[in-house]
Amino acid sequence: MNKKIISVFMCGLLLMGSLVGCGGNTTIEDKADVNTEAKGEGTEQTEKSENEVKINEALAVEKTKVYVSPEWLNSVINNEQNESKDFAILECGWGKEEIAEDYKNGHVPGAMHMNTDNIESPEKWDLRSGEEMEKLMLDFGITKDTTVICYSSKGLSSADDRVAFAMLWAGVENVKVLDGGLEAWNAKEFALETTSNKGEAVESFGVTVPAHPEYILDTEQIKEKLKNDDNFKLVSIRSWAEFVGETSGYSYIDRAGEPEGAIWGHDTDDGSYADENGNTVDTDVLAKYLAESDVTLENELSFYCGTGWRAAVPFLLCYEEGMTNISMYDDGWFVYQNDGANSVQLGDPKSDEFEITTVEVLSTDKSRK
Amino acid sequence: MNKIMNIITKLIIMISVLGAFVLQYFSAHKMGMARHMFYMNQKLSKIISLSNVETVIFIVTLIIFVASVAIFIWKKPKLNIVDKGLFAVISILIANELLFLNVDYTVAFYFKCILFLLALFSQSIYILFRCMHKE
Repeated sequence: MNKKIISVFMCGLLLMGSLVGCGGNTTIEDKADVNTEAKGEGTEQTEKSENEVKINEALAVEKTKVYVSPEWLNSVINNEQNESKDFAILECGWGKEEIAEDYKNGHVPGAMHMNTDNIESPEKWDLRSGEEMEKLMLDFGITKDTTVICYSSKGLSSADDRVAFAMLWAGVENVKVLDGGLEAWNAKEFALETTSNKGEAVESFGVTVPAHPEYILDTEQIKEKLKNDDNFKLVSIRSWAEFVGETSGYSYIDRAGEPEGAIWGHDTDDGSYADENGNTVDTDVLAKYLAESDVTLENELSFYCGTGWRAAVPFLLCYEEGMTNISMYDDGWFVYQNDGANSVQLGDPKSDEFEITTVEVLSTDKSRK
Repeated sequence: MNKIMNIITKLIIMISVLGAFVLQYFSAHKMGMARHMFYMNQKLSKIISLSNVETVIFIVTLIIFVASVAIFIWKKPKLNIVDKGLFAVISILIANELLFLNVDYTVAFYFKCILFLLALFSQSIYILFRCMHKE
């Protein structure tokens, strides 16, 4: 009798164990085969149809909000947000997927790898043409209505910001960046997967690419604006050493300096745009940086760096505040220093050693060693 | 003298071949290096048209290779198996590079070719040297 009771009890335990075990990892709305390796309790994903979205109001964010928390992304994956209906997660970094160790070692469930070379042309490292960008997004299954969520493996990396900017420029209406990147995701012990995900190609993006050409200024435009528009401010998102012309900051740029008239907006790589928790700061901090040069958020602002990665951060900060007086000088210092006739400033604008010269007289030994 | 020449050429070959593979690896795995190679290609293109670089390397390689083989046949230098093997390996490496690869496959293509060519040239000089100083 006792043996029978114990047998029945053990069978029951086994059955329950099987059910619990099978219920842990599930699919994400046709996005990908998700072989999650749950690291904690934060990712109980349940299969729900698209019509069964139960909004987690506490985590919901505005459409124009760019920097989002790991909790929000997890709720999107778990079908708890309006964005859950049509979203794409992009793990952004340089290099093809074969060499993207951070992606292969474990990425956010459903994420596709986005090589930044896909969005930048090697001649100038500017964003690719509208036609190229449209084809890329169609291949990734992205339309203007898809919510694109970008992240990088490192919190301070601006690869995700660069891709997010490219998506906004192209015409994607709801673009997010995971604040703190994969480091923040891992800190919450959310699930990772190692599956290689590919998008399902779509036929139409839904709008002419780029939908927002006004987000980018070229070299001639900034030169004209600097000359004729006192309200226009060209904001350098580079290190102080780059700003005063001690180094170009890049191994592939020979000359150091800044376009004449540029002001310093601090660097993103040194953590100036992250708080103590690694989260992206708000525009108050940017306003403080601008105030050092007697500039405010009311001015027309165009951000730039070497090739457009770091400059994407303040652009996105201002974008999510609803500012429309912003743009990016995408050519950046890389293109500007290729024309010998361009006017250049060297040194601290507030010091006696500040000087104006031209690119052609700059020394060519300022590349980062 | 033979020994010194042997050491010098082997060092040049080792550095060139190793350098070529290091360039290949880092330009494929490191963004800064890849962009630096693009930049170097742009610099190279200001000196000589990139479409001509491959042709020039191919012709120079062919001349060195044919000359070295001719020396082998006519002068019959006393070379050990290592020297003969090295010549064959370097020739295969550069032939593989020129026949099957291009700058779209690896951004370091031109510089790899130049380094392999340097290695082939060094080995050919050594072969010539052995012909002139038969011991």
